Amino acid sequence: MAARIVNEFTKGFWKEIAPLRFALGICPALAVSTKVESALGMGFAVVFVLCMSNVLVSAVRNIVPDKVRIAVFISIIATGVVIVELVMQAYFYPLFLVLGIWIPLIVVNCVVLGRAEAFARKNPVLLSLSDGLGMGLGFTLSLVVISSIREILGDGTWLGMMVLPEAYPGFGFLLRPPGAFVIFGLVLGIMNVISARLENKTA
Amino acid sequence: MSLREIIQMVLVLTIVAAVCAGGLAAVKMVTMEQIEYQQIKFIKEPALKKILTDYDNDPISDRIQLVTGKDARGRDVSTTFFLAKKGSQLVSLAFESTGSGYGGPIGVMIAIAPEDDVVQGIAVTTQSETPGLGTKIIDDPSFSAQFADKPLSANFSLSAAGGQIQAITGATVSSTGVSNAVNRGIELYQAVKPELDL
Amino acid sequence: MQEYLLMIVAAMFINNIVLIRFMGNCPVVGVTSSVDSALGMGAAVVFVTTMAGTTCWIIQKTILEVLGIEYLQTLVFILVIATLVQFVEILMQKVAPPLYRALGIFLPLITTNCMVFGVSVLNIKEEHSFMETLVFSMASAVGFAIVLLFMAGLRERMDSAGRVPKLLQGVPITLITAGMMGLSFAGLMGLD
Repeated sequence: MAARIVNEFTKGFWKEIAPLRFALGICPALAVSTKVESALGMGFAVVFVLCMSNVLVSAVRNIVPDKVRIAVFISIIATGVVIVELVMQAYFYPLFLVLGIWIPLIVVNCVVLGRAEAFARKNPVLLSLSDGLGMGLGFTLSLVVISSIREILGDGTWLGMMVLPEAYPGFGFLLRPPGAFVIFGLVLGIMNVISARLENKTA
Repeated sequence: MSLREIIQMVLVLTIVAAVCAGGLAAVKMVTMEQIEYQQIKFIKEPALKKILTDYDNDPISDRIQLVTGKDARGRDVSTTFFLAKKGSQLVSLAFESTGSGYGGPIGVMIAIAPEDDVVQGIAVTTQSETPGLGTKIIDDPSFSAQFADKPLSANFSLSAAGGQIQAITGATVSSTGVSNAVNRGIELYQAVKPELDL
Repeated sequence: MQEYLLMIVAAMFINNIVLIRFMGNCPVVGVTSSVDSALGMGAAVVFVTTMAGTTCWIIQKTILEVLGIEYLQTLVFILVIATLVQFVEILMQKVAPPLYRALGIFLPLITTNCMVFGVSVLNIKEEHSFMETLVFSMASAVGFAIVLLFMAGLRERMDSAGRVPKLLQGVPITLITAGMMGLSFAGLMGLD
């Protein structure tokens, strides 16, 4: 059992890392990845919603009739999202202003509903929690990777700290929307090559 | 689909909806005060800092609410007044007023010295004007400086309308919005002044 | 009239919902392998987004704001959209079977298309009037359909040319193409 919990947790980081492997949840990954700070804030918001929805969906999995399960899942997820909205407004207001509409949009993040439907409704609570935590942190990791590239090359900073020499002119293209698509595409391409190499080795 | 199934479905949905709404109402109650404080702190405080100069209290904690009018549905509308004090003497009174700009409403914080009825300064709090043009109402300090240190009896309309304020070139609508907000604010101030009990 | 025209151009191209506001990327990446399915998906999304945008606006103004429970917006909107999609599906099946055969398979996918929800929230956030809501929702959705269609056409070409480097085949090249498309859309910026 313990081994399975660990396994469900770690798969979210590489084997099934949602945005980079399946191109799921890419909208927020593109939108809030101009700065590492906002990427982290978004990531943790998703971790919370994902854990909460996975645990609750798994807890009610045997009493919810199949026909209305999507409506129930959506209600649970939306409740989690509103809690995040309120708490973020109350205690992290500047972050709330930066993330803006992307906080309510977590409700339609395919990763969240996807895990409820594909995993939590068939598995016990503890496994679902570990799956949610892993998937959520994997999502956060993807956002941090993309935003690190964009912030370092675009602005010369990382988490607000100067990392490139003062004279670095910055590469504004990366901070604008088209740059997000190009960087994301390139990162996905590199992921494909690395995993193809790894599979060749083990085969 | 049997009747039992339908009843079960309706029952489950009702319970889920009730629990969700109830839970959220509870979270809202707990966070409400804190959210209000944060909104004031991050949206109003920068504007307050710009226009209030000589005080030693925290105008955000020393705020009062007064009913200042009615909305279209006949419900009371209230305005928050921030009180800046030095020693225990009230030196200025700041509140927000709005006018309509090019991209939506423009919020303007106005500071008035109640002692001698002088506008001490104004600062834009919220706006959605065209970047680089209308946003000069914030970015160009010389525009808002025109309103500062003038008695309430001064004419705060744009010069095109016979007043003393020079509009920003290319951003007449935004400038008018600010000027209207100030005029409306002064009107409001004069209406509630007797109630303020200064 | 002129402000509506500006709003249409802005929503369709300059602030394109997919390329600039980043909403509704999943179908652009996932569905766009053929022009036919892109057309079907595009039409279904235009229909649902317009319906959802206006319905949510009415609910916001007549229920949420009157009762002072705006914080339930997220919960209420998503349930409205989910119900609406189901309703449209049933209605279409009954009233227009040919249309249902063409668009039906795309309908369930639309509930989780973040664009439908996003546009509904944007209408409230930007304080649109009812007419503006109608225009903005439809124009945004048409902007989505245009990108979907362009992308499908481009991908059909790229697949048949077979010259895409192995490293970038599939999703990566779609995203990079979207970036290039975004650049050209951004070129329209000075129009307004």
